[in-house]
Amino acid sequence: MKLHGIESIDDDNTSYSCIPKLRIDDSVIELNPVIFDAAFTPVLTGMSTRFGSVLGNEQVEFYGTGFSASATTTVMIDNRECVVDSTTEDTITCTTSDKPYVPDTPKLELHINGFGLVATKGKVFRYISRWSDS
Amino acid sequence: MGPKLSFLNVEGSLIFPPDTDPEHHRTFDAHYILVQGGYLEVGTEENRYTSKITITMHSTKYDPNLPIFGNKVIGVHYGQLEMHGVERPITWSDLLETAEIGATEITLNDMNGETLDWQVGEEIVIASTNFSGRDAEQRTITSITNIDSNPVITFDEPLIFKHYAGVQYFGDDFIEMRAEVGLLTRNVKYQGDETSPENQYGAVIIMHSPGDETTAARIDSVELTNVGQAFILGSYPIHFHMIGTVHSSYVRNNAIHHTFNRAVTIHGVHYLRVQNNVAYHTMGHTIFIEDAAETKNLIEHNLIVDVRRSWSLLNTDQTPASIWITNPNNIIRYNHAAGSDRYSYWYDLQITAIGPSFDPNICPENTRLGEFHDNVAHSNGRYGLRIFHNLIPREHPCDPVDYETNKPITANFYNLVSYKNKRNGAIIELSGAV
Repeated sequence: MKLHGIESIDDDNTSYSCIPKLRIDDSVIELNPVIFDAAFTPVLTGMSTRFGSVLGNEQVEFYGTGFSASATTTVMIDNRECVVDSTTEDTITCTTSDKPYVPDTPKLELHINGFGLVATKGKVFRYISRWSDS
Repeated sequence: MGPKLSFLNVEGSLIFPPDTDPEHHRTFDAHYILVQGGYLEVGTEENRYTSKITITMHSTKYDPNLPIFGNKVIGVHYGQLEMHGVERPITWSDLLETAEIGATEITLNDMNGETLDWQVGEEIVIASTNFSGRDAEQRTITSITNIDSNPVITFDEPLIFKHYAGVQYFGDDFIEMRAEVGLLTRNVKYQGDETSPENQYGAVIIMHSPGDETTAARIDSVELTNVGQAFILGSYPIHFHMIGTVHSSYVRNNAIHHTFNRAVTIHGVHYLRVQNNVAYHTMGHTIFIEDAAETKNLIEHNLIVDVRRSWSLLNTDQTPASIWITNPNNIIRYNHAAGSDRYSYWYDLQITAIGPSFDPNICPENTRLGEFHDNVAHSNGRYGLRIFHNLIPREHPCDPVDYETNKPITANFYNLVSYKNKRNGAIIELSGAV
């Protein structure tokens, strides 16, 4: 099976329906429509803080829509686990791990089992050391 | 005041978080800040710097220079720079009615549903509407009323020059001429130290790393003053240098005033956005497209006031333009270039790409025009719009015109308003389909 090309859609709608076609030799069969819906995608809208200590062990709260109170949720910050303490349909609370000093690009991944990755829309959490702490 | 740091090398991240008190004022002093593969933040687009900060750079011309970046500099090399002050919805406007000599108040044009948030104590500049661009005047706001319709601003000292506002009709046609008024103050300030004016040696911000998208800088709602380094090519207030495409970078809503060497330089980059800035009292070509290889850059809705001749730069900076354009394939629209010793918009189109971008296969003289429309030019020592030397666009720019295989392309310059120029509103030396 091959997927041919990418379709990009420029409109304001929150859902899109398309009909997959199955082509066998010269005959084409139209399959049931597939619906893409923004409501199925969990979205991050804010967080309690953008910054946390490299020493870790700090609680961070993520706010958004389409989260789950029951599904297994994992949070990875710069590829290190932020251990999830609790979840609701619009919050995820986790406790950060420590992180050794490595210059890199921040990376935030929130995954909800059965719902996929949360759309972070460019939001990141940054590990820092405060000048005033030293 | 904190310590004056010598050399700050940012390989991780350096973040200035705002204080919860908007009146809190942080100062930061250094000679060099080099962001090497790192991240420097003074507010982001989403989380702006909401209190006050002044970053002051030090050094003299004779101190050690970093390659490319020099000194008295924020240098960004394979890095990311985020500077975002409090967003000001209106960075410049224009007059409703003429301000006479001796006036201590002005009335601004209709806000069109917006509200003016300019504050008492902030600095403004009122552009010249005379034949000399140098008749622009800077004042401090002492009161401001009527902020959601036609704001009335009073200031400390009476005006020395008349600033015109009016519409003149010629049959069905009309020409609208209004002195522009720009806001110079921002809560995030980047400046050269107090020795800068005397030595014409100010602070600079330079982005450089070869390769598309290898460096990103978003500079937004920042006041830059005592910036640019006279006599030193490449040391400009904001300088994007030989990167390639910079889709995620922009220079927006800033006030860049009292400079010694230009304002914004677009050098060897494509897709940079330069929007809603106010530049005032600058030296040499102010928005500068350097090598003629640069394309698809957007220069939109900027106000450029009082551009002065520079004897300490390129020869062409002795006859400066508010916007100097070496490759026509860029987008120039809705700008007001209000006063320059020579020109507002100069299409100084090159035969090939020049400088470090040299390429005989790029032929800017014969390249299609990106966009040029709805620009205003006034109070210039020579011309509002100058196309010099040639502009003869065609399908294959480096080959001779052939009406079968290499057809000319029309270049349309729409809606230029040009007035009070000592010589001509617009002039072209030699052109094809324009």
